[in-house]
Amino acid sequence: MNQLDDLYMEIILDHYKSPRNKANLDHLGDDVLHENPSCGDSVKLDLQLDGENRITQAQFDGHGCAISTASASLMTERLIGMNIAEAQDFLQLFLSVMRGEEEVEKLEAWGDLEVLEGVRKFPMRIKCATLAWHALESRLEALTS
Amino acid sequence: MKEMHLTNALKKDFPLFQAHPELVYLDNAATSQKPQVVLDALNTYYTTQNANVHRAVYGLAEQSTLAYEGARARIANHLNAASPQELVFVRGATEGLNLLAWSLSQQLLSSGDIILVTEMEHHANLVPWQQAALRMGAELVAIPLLPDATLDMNFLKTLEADGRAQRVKICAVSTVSNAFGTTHPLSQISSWCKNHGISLVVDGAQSVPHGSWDVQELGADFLVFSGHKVYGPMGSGVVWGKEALWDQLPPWQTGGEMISRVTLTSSTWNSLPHKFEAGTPDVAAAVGLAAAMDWMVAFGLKHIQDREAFLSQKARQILQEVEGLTLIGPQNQKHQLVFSFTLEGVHSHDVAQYLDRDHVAIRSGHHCAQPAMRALQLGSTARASLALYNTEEDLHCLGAALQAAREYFL
Repeated sequence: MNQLDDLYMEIILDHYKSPRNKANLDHLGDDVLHENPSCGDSVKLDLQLDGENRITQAQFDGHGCAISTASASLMTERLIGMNIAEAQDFLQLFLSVMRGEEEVEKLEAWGDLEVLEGVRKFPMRIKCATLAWHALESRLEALTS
Repeated sequence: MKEMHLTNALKKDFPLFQAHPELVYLDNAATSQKPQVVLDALNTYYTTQNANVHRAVYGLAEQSTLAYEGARARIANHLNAASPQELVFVRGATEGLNLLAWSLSQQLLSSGDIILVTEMEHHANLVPWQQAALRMGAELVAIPLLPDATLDMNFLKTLEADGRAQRVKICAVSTVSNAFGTTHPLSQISSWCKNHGISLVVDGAQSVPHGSWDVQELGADFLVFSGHKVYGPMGSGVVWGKEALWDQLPPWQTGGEMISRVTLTSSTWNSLPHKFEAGTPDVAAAVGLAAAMDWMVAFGLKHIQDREAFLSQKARQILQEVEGLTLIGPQNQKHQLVFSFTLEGVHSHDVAQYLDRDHVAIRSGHHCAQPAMRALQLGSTARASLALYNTEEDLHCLGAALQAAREYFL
């Protein structure tokens, strides 16, 4: 049971059942839709910026499992208030932790996000945890290009 | 329901279940476990007969060739094929369908012709045809799905009414949907194809494992299946086709073994079936597949069907009792070995992950049938698929684990 509870931490189940910043983003076309081809899960991400390139609103839409939904929800919570450069560092750090290249303690500064540590013990689920982050990656690329 | 008591005795023939005695394996639509006799056949081949086939004159090569061609003859006999030459060995159903999509479309298709498939095909019986259509300037048309995951057979009348039926040259359908377990009305499709002079390719990946073998009864021009789902080794598979049709087709892959005479500027082709088997074949895989089918015959195809019919009804009953579970697919099909479902409030990945804790192996996702999932507006489903070694106890474990999963995530 322990391993499964490491994956489905209470905070993850909470964000799955009541996702934060989840909104209907039908107005964004399918070109911003990110899909996990192995399972059919999909996510869209929308960022609103102020005049100083600071994220004032981060919303996501899509359907996914507990891990991908909670990861998207936790990600959007943290993104609000960051500028683009900070968001890029944040993204890279998270992906490195998921790849096992960085210690999970590095995520401590980001609060609840650390609960996604358990996913690393389930290699098949890492792509669930990173789906929304790849959507963030393209969104940030589009904003900076 | 005829009462049966299915014990674990059959699992003793499968070493993997000795290594994992707690395992409840319900992903048989993806691949089956292998009985000891199949592993023994592979071992015997490699330890006593291994040499390249067909051309060498020394004794060992002759033994290897006999093993390979003997496997072909035994499988041809099991399938009730007119002759062993009608069987081409491939790596699996995907490779077989790619072979046919290439060779048949080269031979039969002109610009404006139609390849008819169904909206419910596995990507392996869809993408090769889609690409062949693009290559030949042909059109891919799909028989649509109804909400209960059965085919809308009235669509054939639409094709007749609007004149498109005349343009259909190839029809490629599966016997049973790997995503929803639906058995397709193959005899109806077969007569329709005969009436319209259409070549019919059948993907038997989900029916051959359950003993539906007779190609004379099938009413098709070609049958494709994967050996690894039929208790045989990975990398084994068969394309059966009528000899007269095979003869007309151009080869798919070219190289050694499939040629007759080669000059620097041209080549002529070897006879059947070698024309379609370029390069060194996976001899052990063929030998292993023949052993698997022999094993099924020894067990009794009728016995397999009775046992599986019982499991099918038990599975439906047990799944229907799980709170919040919705079965996707035909509601009244008597013999069904693939069950697709959703569990209210729990994503299929999380269902499968939770079940793994209880050693119950099921599949989750789109089951390589994205157009079908889209048609039914499903993101993903959980899928439990049965084989003859499964027991009632396996199904009770599944039911209990699903109930527990729902409670865990609610």
